[in-house]
Amino acid sequence: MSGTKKLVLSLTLAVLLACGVWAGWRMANSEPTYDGEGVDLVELYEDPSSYDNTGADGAAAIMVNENLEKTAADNVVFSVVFNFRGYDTMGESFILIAAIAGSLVILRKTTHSGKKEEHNHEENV
Amino acid sequence: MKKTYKKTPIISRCASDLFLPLACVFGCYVVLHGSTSPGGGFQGGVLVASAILLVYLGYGGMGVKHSFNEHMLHSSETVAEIMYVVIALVGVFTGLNFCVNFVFAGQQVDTSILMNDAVGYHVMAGITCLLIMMLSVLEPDDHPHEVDDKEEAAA
Repeated sequence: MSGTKKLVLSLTLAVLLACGVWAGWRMANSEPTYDGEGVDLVELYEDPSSYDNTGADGAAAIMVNENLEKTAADNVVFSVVFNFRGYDTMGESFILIAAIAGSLVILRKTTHSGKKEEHNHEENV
Repeated sequence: MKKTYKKTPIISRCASDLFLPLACVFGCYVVLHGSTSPGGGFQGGVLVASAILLVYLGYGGMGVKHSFNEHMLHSSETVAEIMYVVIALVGVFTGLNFCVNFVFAGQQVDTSILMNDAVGYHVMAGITCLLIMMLSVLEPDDHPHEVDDKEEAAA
C-alpha cells in the first residue's frame, strides 16, 4: 500500500472515530426521550385507549393519532407495514422473488424443455 | 399394486396426518387475521409453507412430488406479486398516493387486507417452491420402487 493511500485511509478512520466519539458524548449528555416509568403493561393491555400518546412528534404523531382517519385500519402496526411503508413491503416481496429465482437456477435439475438431463444420470451410473 | 412412495414408519405418517390440517389452518388464520393481531402475510405464509415438511416426514420425497406442482407454485407466486402492485396502484388511479387505502373510515372493507392476503399467498408459494427444491436435492430417488417391492414381499 502506497503512502498516499495509507494517509487517506488513516484520515478517514480518524474522522469517523471523532464523529463517533462526539455522537456518543452528545447522546450521553442529552435527556432520555422515553423511559418506561409509570407504565403498567397489564393495565395497558386491558385498556389500550388509556395510553398517553400526546408526546409523539413528527411522522410518528401522524401515524399514531390520525391512523384511523387516514387508513381505516384497526392496528397501527398493520397500517404502517401496508400503508405508510407499502413500498417497503413490496421491496421485500421482490427480494423474495429474487432469492427464489437464484436458488432455482442453482438447484434445479431439469432443462428448459422440462426433460431430465441425461448426461448427469449417465455419469452417476 | 405398485406403490409410488417409500414406506415410512407408521408413527411419523399418523403424526403428519394429524398435524397437517392443524398447521394449514393455523397458518391461514394468521394470514387472515393479520389486520387485527400480531402476524400477517409473511409470518402466516411461512407457517403454511412449513406443512410441506410434514408431508416429507410422513410420505417421503415421492409423496411431496405427487402432492405439489412446483411450476404452478412458482408461476402463481409472481401472479400474487402482480396482484399486490395492482391493488396498491388503485390508490393512484383514485387520485391518492401509492398504497393508500381509498376506502375511508367507517368501512369494514380495507384494501390493505387484500394486499396482506396477496403477500401471504406469495410467501406461501415461494417458500413451498424453495423447500421442494431443497428436498429434491436431499433425496435423488434413483430407484424408488425397489425398496417398496422388497418390503411388500417381506410382509
